[in-house]
Amino acid sequence: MLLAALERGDDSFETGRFLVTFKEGAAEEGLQSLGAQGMRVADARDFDGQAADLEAVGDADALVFPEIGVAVVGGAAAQERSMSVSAEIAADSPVESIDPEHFVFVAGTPGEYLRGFAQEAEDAPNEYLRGFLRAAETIIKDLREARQPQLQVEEEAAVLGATWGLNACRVPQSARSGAGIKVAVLDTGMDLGHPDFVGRLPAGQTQSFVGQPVQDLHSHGTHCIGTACGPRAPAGSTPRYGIGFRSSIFVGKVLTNSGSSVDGSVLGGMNWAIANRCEVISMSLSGRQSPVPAYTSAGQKALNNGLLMIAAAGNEALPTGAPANSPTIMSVASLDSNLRPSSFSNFGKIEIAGPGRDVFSSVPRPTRYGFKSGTSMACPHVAGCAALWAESASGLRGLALWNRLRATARPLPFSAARVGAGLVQAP
Amino acid sequence: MADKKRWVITASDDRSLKDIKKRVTESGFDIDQVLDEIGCITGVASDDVAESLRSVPGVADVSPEPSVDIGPPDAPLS
Repeated sequence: MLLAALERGDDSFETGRFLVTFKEGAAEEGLQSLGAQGMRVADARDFDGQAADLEAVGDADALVFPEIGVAVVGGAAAQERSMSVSAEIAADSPVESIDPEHFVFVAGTPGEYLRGFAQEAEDAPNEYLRGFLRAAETIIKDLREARQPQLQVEEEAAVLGATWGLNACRVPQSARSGAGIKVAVLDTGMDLGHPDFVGRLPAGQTQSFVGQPVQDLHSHGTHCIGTACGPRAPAGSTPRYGIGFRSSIFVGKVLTNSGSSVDGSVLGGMNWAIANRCEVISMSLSGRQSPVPAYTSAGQKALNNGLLMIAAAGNEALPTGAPANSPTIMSVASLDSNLRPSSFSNFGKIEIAGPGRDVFSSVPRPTRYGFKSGTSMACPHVAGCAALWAESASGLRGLALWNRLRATARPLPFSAARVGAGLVQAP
Repeated sequence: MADKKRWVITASDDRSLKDIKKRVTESGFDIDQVLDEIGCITGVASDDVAESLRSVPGVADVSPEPSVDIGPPDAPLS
């Protein structure tokens, strides 16, 4: 309930919507019942090709898709009418079920899928809806393309001299560098003397919250920063492993050299990254808590300031951990190089996926480079791509950036609960 | 007196931390960090004090401070 209250604190963030599924043949009656409750109702039939979404219909409270017997109801409108998942539904009601929107349609970009729904689902019974249609669409699309992703990745690696992860995200082809974008990485710090980052780690942009120097004696932070912000052309035969090579790096050490948070260090780091107006805040860390109100609040404050928090879903093959399970924080799942979900990757509340198995990046001297696996490695791929997108248009900030990352992700033939919108792509 | 624990207080959106900071301190909450940007206060208090703070106007939540972990440097996954 507290979480819901926090979410309701700002109507511009749209995770509070509900999907109302009407009983078979009761769509018209359902539409009227929403109107009878005083809602301003928009009807998809009023749009060309029924290509409507709730954002495009002005101040309507609900958008009804009569063809599929589903309505999307805004959180504020639902709340005013005590409509919730747990609300009891009368036997004679036209409503079959009320479900939260966020697992499938995370944070406000239902338009794209709903257009798909409206066309594909004309003959489909209601219960096949939600993520399944979208998964089916992507499977069909994949079969049509008849391409083996693994082969594609290997071919491109040979040609482009970059890691499999960067190739899969189409980073080498991107004209963007992350210039002018501040990327905060909240982790175990950074090897401040790493030769690939000379001149990119000014003292004013490094901060420790754990009572130890920023210098990374663990290696996790240096690896994550490498992926998100590493150089375009490392010396020698080292392949390109970094994405936002001209981004401005903010190193927040919120985990000790043994890899744990200490008293309030993560919250302190979040506060610092927002105070510095870092457009992208990457958090490759995870705990086993239910959504934490303080993290949810922090994510909302970031969005309110045009900033985006991105977090690793976690590696327990369990439901998404904190802070990624907060609705205001983008949750990243891990993929193997065959573009299948990694066996360890957490699931459930997932917005997007990134390369997370056998990821090559920087580690502290004297070793300098190494491989790591985990959703921790997937997260900075998304953060790096986010920096490139943010550079590409000044309007791509906060929630708009979140939506763009999801809208441009490469669809994968797995459920949204495993891979979200799919594999993150560079602009 | 019960053992003291670490807590995080999350303010509701419509209140500034200034409003609740005083009340919280008066109630016996030992403030560690006041995090204006994210609307949170961290600190130490007994269970009883923490419970009493839940009814302070402007306080949306009082929870045990969360912890996160990525495992030691040689962990196979991180």
